[in-house]
Amino acid sequence: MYAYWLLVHKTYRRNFQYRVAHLVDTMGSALFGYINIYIWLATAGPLGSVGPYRVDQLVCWAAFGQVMYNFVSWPHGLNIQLAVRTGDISLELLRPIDFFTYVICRQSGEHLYKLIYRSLPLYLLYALTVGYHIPKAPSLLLLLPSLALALYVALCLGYLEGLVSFWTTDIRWITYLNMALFTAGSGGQLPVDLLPGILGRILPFSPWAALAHYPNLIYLGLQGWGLCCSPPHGHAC
Amino acid sequence: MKTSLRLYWRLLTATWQALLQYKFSFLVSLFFHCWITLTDFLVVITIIYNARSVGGWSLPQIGVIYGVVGISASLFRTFGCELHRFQEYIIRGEYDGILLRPLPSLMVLLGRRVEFFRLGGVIQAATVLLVSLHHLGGPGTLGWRYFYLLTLPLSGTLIIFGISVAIASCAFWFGRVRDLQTLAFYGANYAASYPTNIYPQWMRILLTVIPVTFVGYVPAKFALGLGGSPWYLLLPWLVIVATWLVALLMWRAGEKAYQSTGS
Repeated sequence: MYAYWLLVHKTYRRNFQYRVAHLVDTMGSALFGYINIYIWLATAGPLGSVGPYRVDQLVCWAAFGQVMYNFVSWPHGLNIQLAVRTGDISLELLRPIDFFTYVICRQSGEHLYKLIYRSLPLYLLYALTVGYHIPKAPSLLLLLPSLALALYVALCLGYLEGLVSFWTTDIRWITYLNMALFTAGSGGQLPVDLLPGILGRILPFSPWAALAHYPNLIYLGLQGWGLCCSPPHGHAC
Repeated sequence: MKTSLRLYWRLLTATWQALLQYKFSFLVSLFFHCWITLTDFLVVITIIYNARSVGGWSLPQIGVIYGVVGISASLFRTFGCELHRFQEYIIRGEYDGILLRPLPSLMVLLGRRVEFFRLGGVIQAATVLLVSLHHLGGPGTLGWRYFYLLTLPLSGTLIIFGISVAIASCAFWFGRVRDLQTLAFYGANYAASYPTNIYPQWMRILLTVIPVTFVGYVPAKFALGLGGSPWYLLLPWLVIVATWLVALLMWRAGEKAYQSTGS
């Protein structure tokens, strides 16, 4: 167990060396959130709402979606494909620890760093410029596990991407497929249930929706503890 | 110049022939690249599907801007991929090798690699542009404006190429320019895919300084009869001259300031 914790800690420390450069990058990334916010203000502003969402909720959605994007986005294939290409994978598989847990822990340190040095400053920036939305206590309690689960699902998707390299070496195609589903189905840019037609009915049940759609619903107080014991309903269907 | 162009053409054909050795991989990458860019447009469709218009622009009208920006950005990523990852040359000290060649450094750099699979983005954006123009009435209704709108990807590509040369030039001084790229390439192009009148003033100024607003929005506004003056049609070409002038000056100054890693 100590070895796994050490992996998390070391990856966190490695990223910590580039905190200033990452902070600048975060500011650039903030622009995407602002663009989405202004798009929603221009479209939903005159109407007052879009689907079941009010304008203020959509603005918060765009801001928190960007925060989540910065938290959960993973490097292609969790870099497993690089080890496969160079042959280093044989050494990595020889380690006397479980490969899946090893990769997940190695990556978790980076995401912990991202949470503190990317997502949090971004959240504060949006909170100061767009407005505060402080979730109520029950939502906050549910938000923390939903963030952890979003990260777990993201890492599993990245791990699956990486595993493909054992058969195909080149994983560009699966990366594109994953990115496409991430863009449309994660809810980082817009609520997934607003997607037209069958996409809006199917994608809320996909693993990609766990990355930002459900954390956003919980953050805005649109989904409560009922989400744990019954399939998503209301806004999500 | 003639020699450089001839050499560039030979490098281009050689890259294409090398690519054909891996036909299946190329076709799969092309398809998936087309697919991923399509999901970007799905977001636009979803917003307009729910709200009917954005800043007074209908879906086909936004489709025109989106198509023009999409084709321009994808053409740049196809033929200017080495310029896009230029910081790697500076960080690893590989730029010395480029300087040794008896040809203009920019031409050598562009000829090193072409990512043909990114043409998938061009195919997708061109489809959106043509379908949007068809919904707006086609050549019968739009007349000469239809053909003018079809030339916009050309001017747009030249503007985006110019901006990217300027961004890459900054690597001579700062080393890493990925953060600047996030803002001035990815962010700016994403913002330029929508009518820029929906943004607040600070962002409109930003998109004028990084002149992506002239790629699609400004010329399309007049051509689609949404306001402006006939000068708007000429503006992209004036912006190309200004952007390339600044970009080439920056590139030249950057080369003079370049210090190798010594590795």
